[in-house]
Amino acid sequence: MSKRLILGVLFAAAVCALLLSCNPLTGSLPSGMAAGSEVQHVSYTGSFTYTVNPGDAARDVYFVFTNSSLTHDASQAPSVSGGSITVDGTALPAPASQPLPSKDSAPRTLADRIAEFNRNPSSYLLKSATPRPSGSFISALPAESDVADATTGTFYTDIDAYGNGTTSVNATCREVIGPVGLGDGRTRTLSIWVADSEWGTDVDTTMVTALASRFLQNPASVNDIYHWDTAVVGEPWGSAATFPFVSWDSNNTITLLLARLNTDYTGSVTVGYFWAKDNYSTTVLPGSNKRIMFYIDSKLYKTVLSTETSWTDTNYWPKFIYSTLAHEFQHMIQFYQKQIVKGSTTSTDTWINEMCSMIMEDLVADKLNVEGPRGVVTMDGSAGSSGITDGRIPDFNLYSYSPLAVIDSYSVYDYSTSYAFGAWLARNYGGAMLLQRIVQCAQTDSTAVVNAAAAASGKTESMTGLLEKWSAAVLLSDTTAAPPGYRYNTGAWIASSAGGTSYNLGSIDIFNYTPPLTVFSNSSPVSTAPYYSSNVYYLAASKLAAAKTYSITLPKGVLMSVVLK
Amino acid sequence: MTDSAQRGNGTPERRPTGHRQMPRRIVLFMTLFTAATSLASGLTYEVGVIGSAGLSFAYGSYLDDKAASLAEWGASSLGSRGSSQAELFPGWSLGVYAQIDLLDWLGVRLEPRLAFLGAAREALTDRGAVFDQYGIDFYSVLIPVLACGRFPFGPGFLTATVGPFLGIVTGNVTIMDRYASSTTRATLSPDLTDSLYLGLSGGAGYALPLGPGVAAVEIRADWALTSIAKTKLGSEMTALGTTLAVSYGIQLGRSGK
Repeated sequence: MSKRLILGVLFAAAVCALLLSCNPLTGSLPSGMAAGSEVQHVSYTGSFTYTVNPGDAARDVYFVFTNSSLTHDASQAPSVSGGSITVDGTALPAPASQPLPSKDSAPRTLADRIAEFNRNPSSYLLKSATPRPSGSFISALPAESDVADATTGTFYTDIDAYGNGTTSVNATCREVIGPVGLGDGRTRTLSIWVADSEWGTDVDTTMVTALASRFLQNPASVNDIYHWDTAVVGEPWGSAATFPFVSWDSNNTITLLLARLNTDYTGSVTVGYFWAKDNYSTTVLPGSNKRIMFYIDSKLYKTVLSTETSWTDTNYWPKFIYSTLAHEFQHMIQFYQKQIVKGSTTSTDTWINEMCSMIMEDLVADKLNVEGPRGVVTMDGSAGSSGITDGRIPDFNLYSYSPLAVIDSYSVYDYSTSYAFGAWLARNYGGAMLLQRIVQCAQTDSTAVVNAAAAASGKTESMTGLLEKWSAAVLLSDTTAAPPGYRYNTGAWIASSAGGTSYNLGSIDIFNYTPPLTVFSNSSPVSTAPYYSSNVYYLAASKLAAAKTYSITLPKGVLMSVVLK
Repeated sequence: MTDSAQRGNGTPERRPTGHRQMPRRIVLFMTLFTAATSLASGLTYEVGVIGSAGLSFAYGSYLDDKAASLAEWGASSLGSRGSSQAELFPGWSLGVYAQIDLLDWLGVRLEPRLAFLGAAREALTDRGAVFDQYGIDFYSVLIPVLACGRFPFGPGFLTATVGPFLGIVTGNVTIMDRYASSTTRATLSPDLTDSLYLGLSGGAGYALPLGPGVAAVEIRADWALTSIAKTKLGSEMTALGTTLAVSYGIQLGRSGK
């Protein structure tokens, strides 16, 4: 009996020993694991140690710290210690400290007021009894009566906090395109007005004609901004608009006013804007121009760079203006689609609306034959080569740690962050259809973005996950082999379609731009708590060849991604 | 009636566990427990050692999130995804026990053990190729309070145990990821509150008299029902250890079964 039991115990012991010897994490690696970039997203909090063994090949090791809160900065800065590193023998540049414009408490620029109005128009409506505009104001003239070089009027170009017009310009209609039949019973008209003070000085007939042909062609063509934008995101106005909004005139006119929009043309400048105030009846908003319209800066349109000999529509600024037409038109469409067709009671968060407009610019850049926000030479679908200084990415590189979800006091740097995120999003989650999904839904916050991404991937997505993947995609943009979800760069055009129209997005390699991506390191450690909805890049090792252990402390709410490449 | 009734009272033999990480306070606790039970004249009690080895598994959003992240990394198109599959991961435990028999067939056992738990998985591309291997492991003291039944069957007893346990993560939680030739390892040290978890332990087997005591072989499971190191990990994780346990105990006290 005892002998059998002893045998049984020995057998059990043998089984146990066999089991204990089979720890897969300490044995040999499974065969067939291909070498390549690696990304890990970790959610640990507090202090921990992290060991990286690069194995056979030396690897660059990056840690990216993500504060996924859309509203709150992190409580403290993450810290990393563990051995010194050098990057090509020199320390990485430390970014200059910058009081983030998005933190300004009292936005008072015109751009701020426009953005604030478009986000929250109801706060301006019916705030006080005010005088109605006189007959000379454009709001008294129906758009269908516009006649080129004949019709004149006065546009309100600014309002006060009560919705009263405060600044105005006298202008003359200089071009009317249409009514253009779209072939399905719809007609559309473009009416271009030029401020009288700029006619003949900033703007002439050639420039107006060039502008008009980019936006709406007669007879109808699928090769203009009107068609490219509306195929993706829908119509800019329609029968769903009832009081207090204006009705569209019988010619369905879109008005474009060319005037000087900046008082100072140094530093960052306003190229154009859509201001939803003009879509309201003067009964509720006396400063409304009662037109479906947007504004373009005339002086910038005229500007000839020192490297250019004379004005042509292929110069830098005209191309920038044409791209801006697509940008502002998206804003116009989004206002109608969300606030009126979908009945949203809140307006789209500024960062999302601007991101949508820059994705639109991106989608039509090759069609317009312009560089667009990507900044790569026209018609080149590859990521270009090093030294690119055009487009939005250089400013993103400069302030790679800036917050994404900025909704007030939106600055020129915030455009760059929004574009960098939107460019990645569009290249991975459906391109034109992503934009359509974001715009043609009732959500006005990050939910719209997350839902659009999920609709494309067929998976559950979250803003946290998107921020983390985006951060890794930035670091992997110098490879064309990143998996879907992490692709900025395929080495060629990335195709998509919407509304029966095909679109191309060019590849992006973040490391091709100047200045280089701001990456912290032990020689320029992360000194401030990560801003809300931001990623902070940290180079832990360059060409790490042997195992190294780091001591890391993460504040609560800050996640870490590890990229080995 | 077994031969255990013939051994009479005596100081239970204390065997070295052979494991250097056995906390002293557990040994002290066992000694006190044994001393207390020895005062309870008229009851049978048993003390012994137990060791087990087998397989360990881990579950929860922590591993699910990791699997989902790797599934994306293993996809060749936006609509596809990779997958993860569990690998056999060894678990073991080693400890001592003290048991008071309340009835002829039923006893209550305190069985502190040091356990090694964890899990390992492989991540596969959407074409089924392994491209990543990852896992988590940690040491834990398990303190189960078990109801133990013994039912005569053949020359010995069928045994069944079930009861709750308190788990305490001792030392670090280690998370390893291996991709191609590179390896990363995170080492987390949860604080005491984060280290505590509750679970259910149980099993069934067969016991036989052997020498001066009773030897038993059981299939055991230690199933954590609350999250382990949730604060440190940032998300939920539970563990399940399924082991083949071997124990040997000496019965003391009045006539037993």
